[in-house]
Amino acid sequence: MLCSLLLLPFLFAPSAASAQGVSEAPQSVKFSLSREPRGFDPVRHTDLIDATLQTQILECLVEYDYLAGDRSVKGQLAESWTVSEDGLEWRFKLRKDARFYDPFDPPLWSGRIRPVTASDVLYSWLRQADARWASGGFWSMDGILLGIEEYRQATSALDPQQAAKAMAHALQNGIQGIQVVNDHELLLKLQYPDPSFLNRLAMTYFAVYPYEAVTKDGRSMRDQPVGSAPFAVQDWLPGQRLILQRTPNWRVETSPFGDGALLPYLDQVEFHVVRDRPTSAEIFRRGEVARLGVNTTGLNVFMDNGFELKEKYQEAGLQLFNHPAADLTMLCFGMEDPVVGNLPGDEAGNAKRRLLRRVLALAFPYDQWNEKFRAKIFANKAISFLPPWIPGASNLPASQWNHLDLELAKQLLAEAGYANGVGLEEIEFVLSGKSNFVVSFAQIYAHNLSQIGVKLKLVPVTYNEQIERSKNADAQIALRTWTMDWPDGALMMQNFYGPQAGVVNYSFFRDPDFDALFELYRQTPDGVERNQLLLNMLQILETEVPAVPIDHRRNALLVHPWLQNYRYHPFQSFFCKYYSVSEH
Amino acid sequence: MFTLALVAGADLVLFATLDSGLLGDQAVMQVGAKASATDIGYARVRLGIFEQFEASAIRLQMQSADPRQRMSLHCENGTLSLHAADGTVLRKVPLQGTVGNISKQMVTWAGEGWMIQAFSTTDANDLPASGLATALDGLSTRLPAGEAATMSWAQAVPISKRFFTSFWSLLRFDFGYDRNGRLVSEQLSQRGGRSLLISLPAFALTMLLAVGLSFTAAGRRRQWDRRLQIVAALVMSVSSLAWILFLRQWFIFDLDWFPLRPWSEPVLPLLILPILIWIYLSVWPDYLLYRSIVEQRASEGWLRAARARGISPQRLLWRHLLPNLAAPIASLLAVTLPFLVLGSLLLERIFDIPGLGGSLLEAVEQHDTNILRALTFLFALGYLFAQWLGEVIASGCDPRLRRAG
Repeated sequence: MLCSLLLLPFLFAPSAASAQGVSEAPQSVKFSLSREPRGFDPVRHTDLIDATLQTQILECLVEYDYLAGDRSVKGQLAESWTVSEDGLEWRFKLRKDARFYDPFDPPLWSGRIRPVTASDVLYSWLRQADARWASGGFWSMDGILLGIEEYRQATSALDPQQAAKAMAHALQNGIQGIQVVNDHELLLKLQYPDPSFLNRLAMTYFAVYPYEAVTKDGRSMRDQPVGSAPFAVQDWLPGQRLILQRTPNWRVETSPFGDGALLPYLDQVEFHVVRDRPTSAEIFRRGEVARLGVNTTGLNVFMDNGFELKEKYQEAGLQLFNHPAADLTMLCFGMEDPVVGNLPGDEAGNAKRRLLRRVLALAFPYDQWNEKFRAKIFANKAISFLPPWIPGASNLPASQWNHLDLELAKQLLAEAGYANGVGLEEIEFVLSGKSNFVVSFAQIYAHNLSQIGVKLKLVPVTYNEQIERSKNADAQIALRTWTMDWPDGALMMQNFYGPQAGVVNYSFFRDPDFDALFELYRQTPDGVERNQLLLNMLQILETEVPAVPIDHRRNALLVHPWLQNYRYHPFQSFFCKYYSVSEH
Repeated sequence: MFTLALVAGADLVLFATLDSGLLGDQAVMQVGAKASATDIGYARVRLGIFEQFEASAIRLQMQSADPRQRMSLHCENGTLSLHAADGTVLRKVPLQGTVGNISKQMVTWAGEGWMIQAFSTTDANDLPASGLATALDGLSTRLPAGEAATMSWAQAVPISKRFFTSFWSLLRFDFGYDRNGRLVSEQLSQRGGRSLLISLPAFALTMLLAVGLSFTAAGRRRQWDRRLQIVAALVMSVSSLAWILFLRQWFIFDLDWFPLRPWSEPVLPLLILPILIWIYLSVWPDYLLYRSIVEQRASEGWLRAARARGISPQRLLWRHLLPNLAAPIASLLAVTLPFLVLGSLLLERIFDIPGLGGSLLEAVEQHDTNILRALTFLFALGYLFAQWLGEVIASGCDPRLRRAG
C-alpha cells in the first residue's frame, strides 16, 4: 500500500498539472484500445477501430451532433447546405476557415497549412470510388451519387493510362453527381432522394484530405494522415500507440458546453493498444486511462450483483454507460431452399414451409443465448427488426416468433404435415466459428428441436465459409449479426430486398410487394408515411419469416469522473475535441 | 554451401505449407472474406503468384425468364463448365485457343428460358484461354439472372520460379511488405530490438545464476544440492503460464512494486518484472542440466587423482573443473541463442510488450505470409550461426576438440 501511495504522484503527474485549468500546463488524456488499428487511409482502412481514429484527424462535410447524442448531424467542413424540393440536389457551402495541417517533415506546404477547397472533396470521394484503389467504402456511394458507377467502370479499364485519364477527366470536370461550383461550393446530385443522406456523409468514407498527402513521393495516408481536424498525429507506432497533438492555431470554434472555451480543450490525446484484458481493467482502475469498454473481465473487477457498480467505485464517481448498440443478431432461413424456403408457383408447399420456418424459430433457445452468450447484460432482446436509435424503432409490434414455445412449435409442425417430424428430412444449421462454445450452444437448439421430432445437423464452418455459403444460398439456417453504419431503417430492411439477394440479402428473400414497399421506404422522409411503409414491410416479414430477430448487443462503458464532457453516442465512440480533464 | 542448403530447406518447407492452402488461401486471407474475385486477383499479383492479371477478360450476363435462376462458372482440369444452382453441369467447353474463342462459344449456350451473353474485351481477345482457369482457380463466377459478371484472366508464375525469386530476395534480406503494406524489415528490426531488451539480460543472468548454483551445490555438502533440486522440481511442476499470471497479479496488481502502463518510454521499468520472471522460470531447468554435467565430470578419474594429491575442493572446482565444462556449456548456450530474439511469446503477450514473439503470433493469426517467411529465414540463419559460434567457443576452450576437428 505504501508503494502505491508513493507511486500515485507519478501516475497522475500530467493530469494533476493540467488540473490548474487556466495555466499553461498541457492537458492530456490516455485511452486504451483493445484492437490494433491498421492505418488512417479512409479508402483502405475501414474497420471500426480505424474509422474511430480517423474521425479525430480527418473531417467530413458533416458530423454527428455530440450533444444531441442521437442521429442528428451538424456541419463540419460544410457551413450550410440547401436541398432541392425533390430531394435530389444538394448544394453545400464549405467553411472558408478550414485548413489542412501537415505535422510531418518535410511538410507538404511551407507553413504546413493549406485551405480546404471543394476540389479536395471531389478528389477524396473520387479516390474512394476509384476501382484501382480497391476501396472498402465504395458501397456507401454506389447507387446513390449520379455517375459514380460509370466513373468506377472507367477507372477499372485494363489499360492503366486509360484509367488515369478517366480520373484526370473527372477531377477536372467533376462527375454528374459531384460538381465543384467554386472553391467553396459543391453541388451533389442523387439517384433517389435519400432521407439519411447527411448521416451517410458523416461516415469516414466521405472524409476529406489533400491529394498531396497521397501523391507526393514518400507520403501515404496510411501512416502520415493529413486532415483539417483539431488533432494531428504526433507519434504513431503501428500496432501499438497513437499520440495526437492539438493542431496549432486551429480555427475558432466555441465549445457547445457553454463555458466559452475554444475547442479543443485537450493538448494531447494518446491511444494505446492493450491486448491483455486484466491489464486494461487494472490500468483503468488506477486512472491511467480514462475509459474502459466493459467485458467479462471488467465485469468481475468493477461490478456486483449482475450489473451494479461496486460501492467503492460508486463512491469514486465512476460513470457507467450501458446502451444498446444499433445492431441486430438474427436467425436467417435460406428462402431458396427446397425444404425451408419459398418456391415460386408452389403455393401449397410454400404454406407448409412457412409453418416449418415458424417451428424452427420457436425452438431457438433465446433465453440460454442471452444468458450464456451475452452474460445476460451485454444484449437486449429484440422486439422487432429495427435496432434502437432508428426512428420508428420504439413502437414496432413485437414479433410472434422470437420466443421459445415448443408446444406451439409442435402444433405448427403437425399443421405443416410433419407431425412429430415424420417425413421431414434433416435440416442443416450452418455455424460460424468452431469453438466448443458455439457448438455446445447449437446443441441446445438441436436438443429442443429433437423434442418435437425435428432433426438438426450442426455444420460448424469458418466465418469465410459461412459467408460464402450464405452468398450462394447454401445455408438452411444461419445466425447473422448486422450492424447499422448509419441510422436508417433502409440499411436493415435491405437485408430482405430482392435485388440485394446474395449481396446483403443472405436469406434470398424475394417478394415483389416487399420490394415495392422498400423502394418507396428508402426515399420517404421520416414521418407517418414512412412508418406505415415500415409496418407493412414488417407485416410481410412476420408472415413469411425469412428471419427472426434475436437481440441487440449493448455497449457497456466505464468512464472516470475526471474525464469531463463525456457523453455516450450510439454512432461514434470518441469525440476527443469536446473532452477535457479535471483534477483527480 | 551447407548453410545455404539448410536455410533454403527451411524456407521451402514453409513455402510449400503456405502454398498448399492448408492454412487457407494466402490472397483471400489478406484481402478478407468480403473481397471480390478481382481484389483477390490483385492480391495474388502483390504476392507474386500472378505475373499478369486482367480483371475483366470476359464480361457476361445470364438472361433468364426466372429472376431467381442462378448459375455459376467453374474451371477444372482445363475445362470451363456452367453449373445450375443445384450443381448439375449444363454446358462444358475445353479451355483451348484464345479467350476470344471461348467467349464466342459461350454465346451459343442457351436453354429453356435462359441464355448467356458474353464478349471478350479487346485487350484480352488474343490471350490464351488457359489463363481463365488460372484466374478462377478454386473460385467460381456467380451468374445470378440479369446481373453483369466478369471472368478474369491471369498468367501465373511457375511455382519453382516463384520459390527461387522469393528465396533470392530473402537472401538479399529483402523481405517485402506486410499485409498492411509496411516494410517487413523495418517492423522486424524494431520489434526484435524490444525482444532483445528482455531476453538478453534475462538470458545472461539466468546462465550465470544457473552455473553459479550448480557449482555452489557441487562444492558444498550433498544436502544443498538436494534442497535446490526440490525447489527446482516445485517450480517446474507448475505451468509457466500460471507462474506468470500469478506473479504479475501479486507484484503488479496487488503489491504495486512495478509500474503498470501501456508500452511507452521509459521502457526499462516495464521490463524489470518480465526479466525477473524469465530468470525465475528458466534458471531451474538450466541448473539441473549444468548440475548433471558437473556431476559427471567430477566423477572422472583425473579429478579423483587430483583430489588424492591434496588440492583443495574449492580450487579443484574453480580452477580445474570450470575450464573443462566451458566447452559443453558454450555449445548448449549457442543452441538457445536464436530463440532469444523471439523473446518469450507468453511474457510478451501478457505484459503487452510489442516484440518479435508477439509479431510471430500475429503473423500466424493474420496469415501474414511475408513476415512468416522472413522470420523462418532469420531463425534458420541465426540457428546456424549460433551453432558455428558454439563450436568455435568450445574448441577455443578445449584443445582436444581442436585436434579432433
